[in-house]
Amino acid sequence: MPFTIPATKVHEQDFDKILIQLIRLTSDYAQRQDVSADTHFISDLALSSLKVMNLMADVEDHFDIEIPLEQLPKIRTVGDAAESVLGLLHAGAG
Amino acid sequence: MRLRVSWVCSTQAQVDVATFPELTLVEALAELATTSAEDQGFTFICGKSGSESFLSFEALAASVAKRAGALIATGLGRGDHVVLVIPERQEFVLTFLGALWAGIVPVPVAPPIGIDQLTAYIERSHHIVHASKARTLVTTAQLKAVSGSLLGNSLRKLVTVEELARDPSPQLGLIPPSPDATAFLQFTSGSTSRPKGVLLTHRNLTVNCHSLAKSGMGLTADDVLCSWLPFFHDFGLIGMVLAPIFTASSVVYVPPILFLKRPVEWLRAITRHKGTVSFAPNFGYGLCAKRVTDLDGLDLSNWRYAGCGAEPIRMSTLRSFSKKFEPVGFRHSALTAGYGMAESTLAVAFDKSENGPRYDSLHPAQLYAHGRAEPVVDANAVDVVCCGSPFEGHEAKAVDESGRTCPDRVIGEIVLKGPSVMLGYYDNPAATASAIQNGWLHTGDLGYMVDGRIYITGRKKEIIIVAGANYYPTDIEHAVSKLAQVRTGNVVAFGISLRDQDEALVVCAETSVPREEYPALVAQIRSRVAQAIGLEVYDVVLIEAGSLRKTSSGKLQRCDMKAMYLGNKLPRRPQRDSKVTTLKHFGRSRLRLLWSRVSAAVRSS
Repeated sequence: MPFTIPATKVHEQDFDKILIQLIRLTSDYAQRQDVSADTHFISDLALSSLKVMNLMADVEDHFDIEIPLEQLPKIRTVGDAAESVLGLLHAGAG
Repeated sequence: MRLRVSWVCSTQAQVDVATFPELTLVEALAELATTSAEDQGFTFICGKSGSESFLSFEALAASVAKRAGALIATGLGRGDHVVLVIPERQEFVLTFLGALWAGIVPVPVAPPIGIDQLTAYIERSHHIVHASKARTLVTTAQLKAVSGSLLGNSLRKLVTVEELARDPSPQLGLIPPSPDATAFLQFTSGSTSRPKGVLLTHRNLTVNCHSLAKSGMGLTADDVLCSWLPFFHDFGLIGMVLAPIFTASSVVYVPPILFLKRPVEWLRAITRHKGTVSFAPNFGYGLCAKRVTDLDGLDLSNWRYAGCGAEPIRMSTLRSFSKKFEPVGFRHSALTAGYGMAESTLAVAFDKSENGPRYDSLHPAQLYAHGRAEPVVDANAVDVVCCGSPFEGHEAKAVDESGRTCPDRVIGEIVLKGPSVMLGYYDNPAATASAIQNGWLHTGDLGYMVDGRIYITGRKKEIIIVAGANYYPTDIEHAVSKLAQVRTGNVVAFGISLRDQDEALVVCAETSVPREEYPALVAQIRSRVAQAIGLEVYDVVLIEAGSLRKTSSGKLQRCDMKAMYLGNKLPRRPQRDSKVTTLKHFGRSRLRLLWSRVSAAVRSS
């Protein structure tokens, strides 16, 4: 089910909602139960770069956004990804 | 206009002669500007939104001449090296061709892609930049901060493509380069700490592009190529940017990252643009066969040439691709296997056959234990794809350890000769001397010949190939050695080949930590490799201090360790987290097969 936020109402508290969705997506993808905001995609989950790309594609589809190429290298943790998604939803709403 | 191009082979008194066009790439581009139709040129797809920008060949040539003028205005001169770290596809093409137009030698370096890879990226790129001796680096405004950390040593100046685009300098007139002048440096070989820059001349480019376009892909001005391959990949750059310039063929570029995230976008681009020619490593076809679920709206019926190479080609992958996409017009006969490497500019052979890829089904024991390619009808047979005969003017053969030519169907190292072979590695006579012996390029690939056609069966060199990319064991071992719990210099990494799958990475490390710390150490090793290299470790084996096989000079014996691993003979310390069941995955017959394969490899090395 797509995750939707009314376009005019993207608020800081939505960060938590986004984070919960991201943790679930990541847990499902990596088959791990211990995912949190501080989980590093690469160093904690030991995912290959190709698999991380697949996961990011899932995230993009889920939120109907496109994470710009230049943002990717800065995303390290699940929390970073949530920040990025929030920013993109903001931009989309603005 | 055609010119007879001659070259002398050091081992033979005779002069091999073949005919190739006399135009260098930039001259071909200049000519194209006046002869091509308005609707021919390069199309760049921008991202998920699918927006596209189109440059006719005429506009391309004008923009390239303008970019050449801007590069000269930064103080670069003919023969200077310039590093390009440009993820934006159109800007890369303009700057790369602009440098060639101005006689400047471009050195393409992969931009940082993927998440959390910056540290490893900077380390890797730093070595390439240093080895290239470039003084200037061109990047984008977005990457200026990251690229800035590469400054130092000879690299003094950073320029962005945005600055180049604003530069008011007029178009630079073309001074045709000498065919023997260096065109550019390809840094796709060598380990991270010792990258090797393949030095290619304009003649190399002209000959290889011509062979590839005409004998290989059979390109004409009516073709539409479609490529997601990165430009720092030899096929992505030479095959999909440079070769089509010689034949006035249009090209559609899909961002590599878009393909990796959504492989269907490649097929959609082929559908939209009625693409006739495309290329991917084996894993690209595999990714589509596995991940594309929505075939709605796809039409691959115009796709006449689907090239495959750059890593071991598996018939099973190609078959599953054909099976999946035949309902939307894909033809199995379009699939074409090829062979080549950066050291031979790009490809040296392609095998085009009306019935799809030709292959041998071989007797496994004969192949792996006796080094003979004996065709057999058997469910356990090993399929080896035919890569075709070398292009006109090029030669290939298999040689044994003492350099003698192997008879047909006997496995040896494949060696190549011809005008596509590099002059050498830049500023690295030792590596050049070991790669080119008596005029023959030693490829490090194992294979056999039949009636002049090349078949590749394995690898003598120790690189590990995953998803079309080469990884060097030394890089992985170095990364793991940095962990305090691992004995420095006592780590071995090697790839194992699982049937019908990508290669899998195994890491063996000596450690003295107490047993209860094993699971944590295994997790740390996995994490370290993912961070530094971007690879998943299939299996981590912790072993007693002093168990690693080394030569008398202390050199690691990777082949021995691999053979012991596959034979389940490593003195593995018991670990809860480790895959003690690893070898069960293979099944008994497969294990025997692998074991005999490794024994053969050990004997031959």
